[in-house]
Amino acid sequence: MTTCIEVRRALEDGESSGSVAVHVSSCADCRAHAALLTSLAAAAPSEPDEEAMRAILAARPVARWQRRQLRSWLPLAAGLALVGLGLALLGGVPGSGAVAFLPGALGSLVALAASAVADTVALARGSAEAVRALAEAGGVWALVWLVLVALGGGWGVLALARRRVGERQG
Amino acid sequence: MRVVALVALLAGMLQPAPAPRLGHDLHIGEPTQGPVVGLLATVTVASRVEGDVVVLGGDVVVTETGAVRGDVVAVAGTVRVAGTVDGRVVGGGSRGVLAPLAGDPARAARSVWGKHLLHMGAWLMVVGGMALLAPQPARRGAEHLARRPLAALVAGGLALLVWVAVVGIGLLLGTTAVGAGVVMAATGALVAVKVLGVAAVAFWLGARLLPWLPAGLRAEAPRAGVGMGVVLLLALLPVAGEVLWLAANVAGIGAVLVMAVTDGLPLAMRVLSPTASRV
Repeated sequence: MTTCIEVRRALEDGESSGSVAVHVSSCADCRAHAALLTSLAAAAPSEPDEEAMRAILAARPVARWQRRQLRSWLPLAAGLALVGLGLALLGGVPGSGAVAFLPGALGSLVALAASAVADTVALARGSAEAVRALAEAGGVWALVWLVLVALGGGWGVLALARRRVGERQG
Repeated sequence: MRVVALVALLAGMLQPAPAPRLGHDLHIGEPTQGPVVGLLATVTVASRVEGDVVVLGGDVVVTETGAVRGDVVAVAGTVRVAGTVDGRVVGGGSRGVLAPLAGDPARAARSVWGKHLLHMGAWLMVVGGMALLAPQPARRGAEHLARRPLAALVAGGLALLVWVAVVGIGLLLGTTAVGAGVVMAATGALVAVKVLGVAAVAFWLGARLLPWLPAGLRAEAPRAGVGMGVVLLLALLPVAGEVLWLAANVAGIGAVLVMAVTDGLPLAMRVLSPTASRV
């Protein structure tokens, strides 16, 4: 292996035998070529960061052309139709005499809020009854117990989330 | 009818409805002009009420001497009628349980399905609107759900435990401003997280269904709508539906909380400034 062309091809193939090294040490042009190859290797893109890619995809806004497509409005239209049909079957909003007192009560928003709040209030109500029973039985210890549950549960959620962060960073 | 009620009210024959107070039970022992509204309390009707009786988070009891000339509604509560009710009688939770407890079977069936459709329609509108306006939080929630569904479920369960404890502390504090504030803030926060969490479940399921969807429904908004529709239809199954709906809620809540902790910036800021993400 004597010619510069052969040495450079060998360098490009990643070969680093003794004869190549000897030639490079004695040839300034081939040394420059080797340096260039090293620079190019350093500039090569690293492995894609899957986490970053997911974050970019998740943060992308909705394009205007997507909003112009009729099918993008299908869930909204279907929801509106179902709300209308549901109200028709119910014969209007029950207890509308009281609903009329609610400021800004508007059709579907009320339905959604009622739906979500009802579940939450039912949970609150069950909790209240349990807490009352606890308070009657244990007094101040019930409060201590609740505080401990709140702290312990909160710690659990944070621990789970931190584990996720650890996995991401690892 | 309204004129007669007004005249009766003015003549002193009807008492004005008592002002609703949080956690205070109401007893209607004299003819009263409705609507009678109760908040986290039990309303007992032992006389005539000209109008509706509506209770949020409590029961309504119409005794043998009670008569309601209007609808009786108990949101997240039950209705027991021994007297008479001229209008509709509805009670129960939100998910298809807000059903008539009295009246003819055909009307009852219509009302049950009406409530089902109302519930489904409201959730479809939420998911559809979110997919069109601000899908980023739901996308991230769905991503967390897809990666670690069990962790999301556990985190959701723990979060609900914390919520119950916090609300319990608020209720133990009684009707003070702090107690009421704690309960209201906790309830508002849970509702917001729940709505976002269920939307995240819909986004996740829509993405999972992608290979089986026709081309026209593969875009983000329609497939999220399909995902929400599947969840809602599964929730209609007897017994198993309740469990599935609860699991979807808990997992969604957990995914949103894990997302909020791990992603750092407040969710609202992320929506307004997508480029401010960690990348």
